[in-house]
Amino acid sequence: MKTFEYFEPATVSEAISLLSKYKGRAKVIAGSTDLLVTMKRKIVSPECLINIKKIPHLTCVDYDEREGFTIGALTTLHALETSLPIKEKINVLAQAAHQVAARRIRSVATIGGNLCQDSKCLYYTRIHSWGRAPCHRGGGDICYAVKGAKSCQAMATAETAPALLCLNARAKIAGPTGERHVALEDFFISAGVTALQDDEILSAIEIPNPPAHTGGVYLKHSLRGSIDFAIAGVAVVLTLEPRNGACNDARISLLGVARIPMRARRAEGVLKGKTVVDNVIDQAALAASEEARPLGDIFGSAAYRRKLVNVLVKMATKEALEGA
Amino acid sequence: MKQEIRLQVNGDFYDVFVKPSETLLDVLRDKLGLMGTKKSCDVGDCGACTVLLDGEPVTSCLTLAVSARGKAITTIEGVAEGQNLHPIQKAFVEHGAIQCGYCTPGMIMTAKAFLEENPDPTEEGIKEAISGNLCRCTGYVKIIEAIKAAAQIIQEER
Repeated sequence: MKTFEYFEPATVSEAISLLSKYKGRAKVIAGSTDLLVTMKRKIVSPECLINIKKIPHLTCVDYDEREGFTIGALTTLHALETSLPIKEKINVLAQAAHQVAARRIRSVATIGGNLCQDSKCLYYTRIHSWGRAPCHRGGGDICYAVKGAKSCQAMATAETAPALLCLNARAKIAGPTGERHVALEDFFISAGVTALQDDEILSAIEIPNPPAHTGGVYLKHSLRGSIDFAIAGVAVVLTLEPRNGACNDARISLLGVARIPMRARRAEGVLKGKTVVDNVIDQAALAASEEARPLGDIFGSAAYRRKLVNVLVKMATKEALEGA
Repeated sequence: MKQEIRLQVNGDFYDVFVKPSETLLDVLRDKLGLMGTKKSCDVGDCGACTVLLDGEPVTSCLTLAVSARGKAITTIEGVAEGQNLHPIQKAFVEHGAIQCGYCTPGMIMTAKAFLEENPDPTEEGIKEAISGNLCRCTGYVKIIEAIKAAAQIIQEER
């Protein structure tokens, strides 16, 4: 790794001043389990690293019956998977956090880092060692994954995103002019690229209180049982009508099958207002697999990823029903 | 630009000059001479470099040494008490859970942290706990057996 200037700011405003000063030549680290890999591979060599781990108040899981959850961006995935309020009220998020990487990563990896993680495209992460010209993501003008593509086509791998999208989460962003909010759906631009400007940091994730009779499940498929990113990941959150068990609201989100984590809105439409029985689930799962726009790679072809979506949406919907 | 930092490893304090880009793994091995922690993939995939930071397992190849200041670092060298092996170490030896030994320190650190939080684990629980540690020799069966046996011995010794 090339060496760099290193700072441990004590406050958010200190961190932002540093980011402003370095104008895009600095990167933020917290758990450092993502950025250091790309730095070791010399894909990125920032002039400066700003370790925000020491900033207090960015690690918290606050719950209010009216406001819902405010989760500090530095809250570790291990804290999320073990948080009693999260397991009780928005268990889909605890499940998603639990399935990220491995315990030794989750000890330090943060929810903010998980959402802001860089692209895992096999070309982007290896191109330097092959001596080839950088791709779009690397600052060049070629895509090795999709011949002729004029922009990065890689798929985002933020494992906690589907659960958060189903929970209608929004991102709280701190910058030089103060705070702003962005719906999580608008936070992801492309793999490794978010709505954050060079002088902003993600400070919290806010999740509204889920309605009663809501159950959610996150399922993922990968080669290894741990460490590997999802070949396909599916979150399903259902809100049922207590009187007759019909589905009042359905939110389905997919990972690994589109450039950014996506909502499967046609599939959601299939479930809404209906009594969720097997043939309805099958239709929803099929719709979701058709809405997916996956790129194939050695971990899974596009066709295989679509099949996974079909299977996982079925499994997750059935499980979510039980928990609602 | 090197700076002097103080690291607390296995209860001892070390003052070392490090560049910000040096990982905790490299500093432990190359500057502190604590070579029990192994460098294998160096990108966080294999778990051989697992150490404990304030009791929690972490990937030392993905930890900057400068960021480990102020934390209690435990490596494999800190597991035994003098000449007395920890029950987990004894169990690994007795159950044939060590072949080449390269994954062993990482496995033991992971198991130690796991058993402290889960003193009476199921086999499934143990498998999940070590799922971040690769072993190319043993096929894992003896490692899982050793951890299960160690859990029982630790409970009995309480």
